[in-house]
Formats: sequence, C-alpha cells, structure tokens
Amino acid sequence: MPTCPDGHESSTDDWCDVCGVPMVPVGAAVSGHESSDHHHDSGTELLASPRPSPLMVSCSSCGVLVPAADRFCEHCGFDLSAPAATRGTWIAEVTADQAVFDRLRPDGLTFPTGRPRRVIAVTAGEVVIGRSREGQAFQPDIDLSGPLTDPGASHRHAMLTRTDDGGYTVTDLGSTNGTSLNASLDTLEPGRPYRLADGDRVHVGAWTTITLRRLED
Amino acid sequence: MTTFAAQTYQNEYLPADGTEVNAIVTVSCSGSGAGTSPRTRAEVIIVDTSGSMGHPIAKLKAAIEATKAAIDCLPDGTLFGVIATEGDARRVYPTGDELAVVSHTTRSQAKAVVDQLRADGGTALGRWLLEARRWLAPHPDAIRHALLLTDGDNEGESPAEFAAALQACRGVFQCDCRGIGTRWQVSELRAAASALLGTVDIVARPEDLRADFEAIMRSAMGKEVGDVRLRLWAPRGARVALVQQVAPAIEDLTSTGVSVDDRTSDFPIGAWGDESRDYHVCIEVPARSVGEEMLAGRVSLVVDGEVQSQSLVRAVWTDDAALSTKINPHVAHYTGQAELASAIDEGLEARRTGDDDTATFRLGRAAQLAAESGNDGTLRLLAKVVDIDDATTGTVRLRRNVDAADEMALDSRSTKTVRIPPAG
Repeated sequence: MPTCPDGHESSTDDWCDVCGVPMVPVGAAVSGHESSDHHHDSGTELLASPRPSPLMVSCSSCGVLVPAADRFCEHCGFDLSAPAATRGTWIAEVTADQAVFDRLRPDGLTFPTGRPRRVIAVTAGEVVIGRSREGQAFQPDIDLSGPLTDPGASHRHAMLTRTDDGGYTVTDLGSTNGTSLNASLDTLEPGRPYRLADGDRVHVGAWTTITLRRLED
Repeated sequence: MTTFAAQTYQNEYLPADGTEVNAIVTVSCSGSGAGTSPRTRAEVIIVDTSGSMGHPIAKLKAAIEATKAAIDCLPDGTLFGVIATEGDARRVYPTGDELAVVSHTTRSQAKAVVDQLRADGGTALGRWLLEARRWLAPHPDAIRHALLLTDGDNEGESPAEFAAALQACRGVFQCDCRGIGTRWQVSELRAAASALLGTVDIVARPEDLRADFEAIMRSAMGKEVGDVRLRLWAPRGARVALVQQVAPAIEDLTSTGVSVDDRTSDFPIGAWGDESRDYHVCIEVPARSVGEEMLAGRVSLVVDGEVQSQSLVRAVWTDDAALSTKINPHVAHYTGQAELASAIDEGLEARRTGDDDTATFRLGRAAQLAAESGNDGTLRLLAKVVDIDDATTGTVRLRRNVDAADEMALDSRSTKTVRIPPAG
C-alpha cells in the first residue's frame, strides 16, 4: 500500500484514505516527506522526476519544487522569503478540535466554534503545555488560557522535550484529564516520554489538539 | 444493467481558518427497466377502515375504488397483500402468513374482498405498519413497499408506541402515506414517511384518491433496485455535520448513517428507478495551512453490496478572499430551499398558536424564497394561506378564513423543492 506524506498507509492512491491529504504533493515528482534530499539529484533513482530547473526552488518547509519567484509555497503556504528555518525547528499548531470534543463529550461545556488556529514555534529544550491561572508565577510555554482557553487542561498538563537528534517527545505531567495522541482514546502514561513524529496530534483538555510539524531545511 | 452516477457541486476554497465544506451531490440512476434480472417486488396496501371513514361514506367508497385500482397496477408476479383496519389491523387478502402472488385470479379475488370492506374502529398507525412488517419481513431480497391511507389522527396508540413501531419498520419497507380529508395529522404521517423513506400528502377530495393511488403504484413498480445506500468517507479528524436529501424533497438523513468503519458511513436511500435526486453534504475538517489541499469527502453508491461511482468533495485553503467567499450556486439554491421549508413550518406553527406576527414574518420570508427560486408550486400553496402583496419583499398578510385542506396541503408539501433554475 502506498504511504501518504503524513505517514499513513493508504488503500487509495489519489488522496490518503486515512487523513485526506494528496498522495503526491502538488508539483512534486517524488513521494512525500520520506525522502528529504529534494535539492539533491533524485533523478537517477526515480524515472519520472524532472531535474530542478534554474527557475525552481525547493520549499524549505515541505520540500516541494516551486517557482523561485513565488512568495509562498503553493503546497504548504510557507513564507519562502523568510530566513531558512533552523534545522530541527518544530511548529505547534493549536486548534479547538470538534472531533476531540465529540469523542470526550465533556459535561456542561460548549464547544468554542469559530476559534482560529494558532501556530507557535517550538525550539526550546523543554516546552510546557498548560493553562495559566491568575496569581500564579509559573507560565506555561503553550498557554491554554485566554484566546486558547481550554477548561479541561491542567495547569501543568504536558511537556515537549527535545531529543538529541532534534526531535521531540511528549510527556503527560500528571494532568487531571489526561493526554492522548492521534485520535486515540487511550491516554498517555504519566511521566513517560512518547516520541513524536512529524504531523502527530497531541490532544489535551476538552477540545485542544496540538499538531506538531517539523520544518526541514 | 442499472448504473449510478454521482456528481459534486461545490466551492472547494476555504479561508485560512475555514473548516466547513459544503457540497451538493447529484445522484442519477439510469438503465433500469432494461431489466436483465427483474427483482421481486412486494406491496402491501394499508387502508384505513376506521369508523370515521364512513362519515361521509364517500371516503370509504373512494378508498375501496382506489385500492382496487392500485391492485390493478401490480404486474403479475408481484407479492401483495391488503390490510384493512377496524381498530386493529386485519389481513383481508390474503388471510394467511404468506403474501399472495399477483395473477389474474388473485387480483379478482382481492378486489372482491376489498369491495366488502366496512368502516369500524379507531386508528393505530404504528400497529398497522407492524402488521405490514410481519408480511414483508420474510422477503429481504424483494423491493418492499407499502401504501398507507388514513383519515384520522393516531388516537389509538401512544406516541411512544408509534415511534417504536416506526423504528422497527425502518429498513424493512418503504411507505408512501396519504391522508384523506382534514381530520388527520400531517406531523404523524410525516414522521412515518421520513422514517420509511416515503412521501406524505393530502388527498382532500375523495374523488382524487384513485388517481393518487395509481401514481404511487406506478412509481413503486418503476423501481428496479432496492436498498441503495449513499456511502460517505471523511478523513480522520473530520466530522460529517449534515447529510440531507434536497431534491425532490427535503429529508434529513444525518442520523441514519450506519458506520462501515471509523471513517465511512452508509446512508440508506431506498429503492431507485430511472431518476435523479440531490443531496447536501456538509463536512467539518480540521483547518490546514493556506495552500494546502485535502480530500474532505468521498461519495459513492452501494447497490446490492457493490460500490458504484465515486464523487470527490475537496478542500483547498487560500488567502484569496475572492475565491473563498464565493458560494456555489447549487449549494446556495438548496440552502434557500431548506430555509423555505423551515419558514413554512415555523410560520404554520406560529399561526396555529395564534402568534400572528411571527406567522406573517415567516410565511412572508417563505413567499420571498419561493419566488426567488422559482418554486411556483409552493408559492401557489402559500397564496391560499396568506395574501401575497409583494413576493420579492416578502410582504404578506394572513388570511382570515383559510381552508383546512389548503393549510394541510402547504404543510405536507413544504419540503418539496425545485431544481436550480437555469442560469441567466
């Protein structure tokens, strides 16, 4: 079975049967993020891949070949004029996720429809996810209060820890309502680090989904 | 060989944080009637012979004539039965557990029995439908249909019994429901028609009943495949917010989905002949970045266990407002038709409770929507309940004396829609 750019095995070859992303990214000749050497010559291995012409560049976020004159990558929307991301930079996309809310059905809460997505850069060695409270000194790095408020999130809910090879793990810090991954109903064992893959979704609280994406250089 | 085709109409562009994808899917079936293997059909006619059908006696006579005409519409080989209702349901022809097979002889015998029907007893729609169910349940491979005629409200059983009966009959047979006269409840027959994928309508004048029954039988006998399902796949993290039939009439199917796997559900859409119907699908997907594209839904048809056709519902995120703010004309049209149906429903309800201001406001809005969308049929029905001063602005006045039959006709047919008017 073919593998989609987000790593799922798909029984269909046009759009991923699991997550719906296009199986072959628009404009790219090679499959997905598995191979990270877009700017090397990949023409010898795969028959149909064109050599990058002088007018095309490889997006530093997703690797797709795009016209050099473009400001934004047509596949992932990354700002091509921004300085190249540091190797191993991750971003955390925080959303209020209806699917999580529907699964948990928390009593007495109304889902906050229309809340926009927020994207936060994740670079530090330890990144704490939690909900700050007035009068408390400690501020979580990803703060689920105010515009991102989630009443089901604990003060110190979970933590992202950088690994030696530039990746991240997620650890539940003994939260009240638990942390889960990728739509699973099982909660993570508190205190145990779980390795994160690019595109993994961390669910905390009543409706928060934090999608971790890794930026390649 | 019956073939299905599905075609999607949508604006696939979403703004940066957009999550709601709407699409109209037109499903067409053709090639049926060229019949290589005609399916068995099974038909049960349920005729209300409660006491009130005898007052006036014209109602009972019309029901008898219409039932005989319906029997004459059945082709040889069809399984059939007639239930009359003197309080409880009674199998009048045949009298045993097995449905009869249509032939010259059995038609004559059945019609002779129907001629002898007398009016007596009360009304219990759920129990009557359960009687039909007993006859039809042993034939899962047949295209199963029932025709229910009543003249009164469901005073013989509780709402809970009625609801339980509908739930038990769901999926076993489809049922078209008709009310004769004006003493029956539109909401009760509509509940039965919705649960059993059928139509509901009023036949105000007894002399019109025969033609109506014949039309229902012709439509039922024109179906070539039974138990078709609309299969909808949505990706992980997505939520199917709405699945609604929008043409020829509005029927909400959202809660009828049967889960196939954790991303796919099948929605029963009944038996089909050569016809086409439109569906409105709304899927909420997790927002992605500008420039990204994903598949929000895959729509296909399941016919006799075989998956046919496939239509794609896409989502593309863009920061170009000119692209993302456009509404697809098909989606806009049917959103309007759905609003029209609710405006009528709310307007009539307000009128019943004496809230004239709300009634005027909602029925005015209904007139406006009907005029805009070219839904002349509904506009004519509205004109019997309100005086329409100006349909374009929705200015109407409640009529003082409204014929009960006209009010019930508007109520029964409020969900009938028209197809999108041609552009230009």
